[in-house]
Amino acid sequence: MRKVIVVTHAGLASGFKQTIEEMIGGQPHLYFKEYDSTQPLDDFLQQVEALVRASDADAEALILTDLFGATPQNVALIAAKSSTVAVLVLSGINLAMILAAVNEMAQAKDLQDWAARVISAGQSGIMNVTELLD
Amino acid sequence: MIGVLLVSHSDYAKGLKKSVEMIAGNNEQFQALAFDEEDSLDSLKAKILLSALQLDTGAGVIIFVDLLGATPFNASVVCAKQLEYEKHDIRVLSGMNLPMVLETLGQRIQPNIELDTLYPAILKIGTSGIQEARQYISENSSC
Repeated sequence: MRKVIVVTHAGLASGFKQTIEEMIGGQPHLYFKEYDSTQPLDDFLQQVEALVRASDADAEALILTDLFGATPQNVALIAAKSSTVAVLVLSGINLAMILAAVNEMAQAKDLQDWAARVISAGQSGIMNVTELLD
Repeated sequence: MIGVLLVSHSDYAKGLKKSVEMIAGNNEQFQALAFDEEDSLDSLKAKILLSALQLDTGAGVIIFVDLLGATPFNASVVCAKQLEYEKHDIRVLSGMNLPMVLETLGQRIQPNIELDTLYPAILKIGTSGIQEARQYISENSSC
């Protein structure tokens, strides 16, 4: 069993949740958690750790974070390090990455392969499209 | 100053704007729009045109869209084309993420910055901001 956990600053993860639900409906293995700066950091860490832990023993998790080096990613890295299941943390999340993470969840041969597919989808979706419909 | 508009299905654009404001505070000439279930393509285009016109003070506008090939993308590109005839300079960039928007807001305050030099740097930041952090963990695991 695999799962995806989206961890961001306040606003973004819940925005993603709304958009994903409108586009493809609710997803059973997709979780969202966001960091509000008024919240104690330890509470936030415990919540992310609980999402990583709450699974079968053989589960693998991909944590998608918004910004390299910022609090959500740092907390995700700590949660990944203390996890007994395999976890990879990616940064720079966009919509294409979440869709790819969901679509490739079952097909990817291992966690590393899954992460590579998600990164590739995220990066290839970034372009100047101004002249694309000419 | 170059205007910045975020457009997505549902609340992703508004959520991204909120996260940007948590990190970088409130910014002028910065708006987010949702393509809601009750919207038609025409009503979305009307919202984009109105926002783009409000945001353009002569330096042009960057419209960030959520996904390549979907409705917010289509509507934005059509609006950009229409505004071009009215001498508004608009660029539409797909695959928006937090690093791209933060970089844009940081760079657009530079003196004499222009859309044509700004947008390639934004695309690069967006792409390089997508990475795996495992190497980062192993490099820091001894700390």
